[in-house]
Amino acid sequence: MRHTAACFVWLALAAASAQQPQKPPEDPLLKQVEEMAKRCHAESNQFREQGGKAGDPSDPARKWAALFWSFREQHPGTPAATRATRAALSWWRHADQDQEVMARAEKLPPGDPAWQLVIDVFRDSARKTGAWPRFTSKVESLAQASTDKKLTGLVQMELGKAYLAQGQPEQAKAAFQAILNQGPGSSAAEDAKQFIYEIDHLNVGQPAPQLQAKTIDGAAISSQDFRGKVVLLSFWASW
Amino acid sequence: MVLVSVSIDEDLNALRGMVARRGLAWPQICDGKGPKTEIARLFNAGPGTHYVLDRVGSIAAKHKGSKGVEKIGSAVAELLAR
Repeated sequence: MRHTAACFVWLALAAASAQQPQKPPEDPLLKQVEEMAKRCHAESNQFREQGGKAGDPSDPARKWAALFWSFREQHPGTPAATRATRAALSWWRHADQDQEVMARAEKLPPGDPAWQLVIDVFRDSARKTGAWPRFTSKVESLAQASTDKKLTGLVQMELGKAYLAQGQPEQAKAAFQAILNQGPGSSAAEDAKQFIYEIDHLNVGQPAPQLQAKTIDGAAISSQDFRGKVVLLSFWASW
Repeated sequence: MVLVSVSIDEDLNALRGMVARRGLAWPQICDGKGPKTEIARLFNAGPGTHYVLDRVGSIAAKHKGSKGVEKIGSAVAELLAR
């Protein structure tokens, strides 16, 4: 897995350097955001090393989150503002300010390019605070307003997972189906198909899928071996 | 009761090393296909997913993620007590 990740990084670097000649000159605003990010990281690390805890009002992450947000407001519509939006929300999240994160969702217009970068931060805050209904209605409105296919797919995926987390499988299924309707073949479509399959076939009380496999020692193992026994099936990874 | 682990690894040797080091003595399934591991797809599972199957092979409990995973333990205990 690590190897695969390294490959992706290499590919990304290769692709980036291949595009270099057409690249516009460096964006000074983006550089400014990167500079802010560095200082924020340094201060935050120092705070934690000195025993500072998330949720403490003196956590520098709070101050920086507010600074990133005001940067966003000072430079509307720029790529740097998008980056700053992501930074602001992530740092509020980091400082356990989930209410702050949820409140900002209302201040991001549906067409804002930052949505693609921040939807997972909102999801984490919603999960932590149990604000699923609020998250869901926000994401529903995004889905309706979106004209960008990539964002629509992302939003429907979030919606599906949020409905599942709230125990509303039929609504979840509709969201996953909307992804499939955009066309097969994409990895989002594959994931959506898997979720629909789970909603239909992997519920408590339904017969478990028949299992037939080999252990890492080469021994055959199958559902037949489990007859009359209680089974705990645990999925993990060594990495 | 039977405990079976399914690993979403791609590198079987790394997994074997880990299993040996930690002395994990129960069956470990892995086909080296990573996220495309067949059983993982069959159960739409990723690392951190747990299923409990009862004595007739029905799904008795299912859980994803670390939060609230205790319910898996109590589901097993309840089935074993029956």
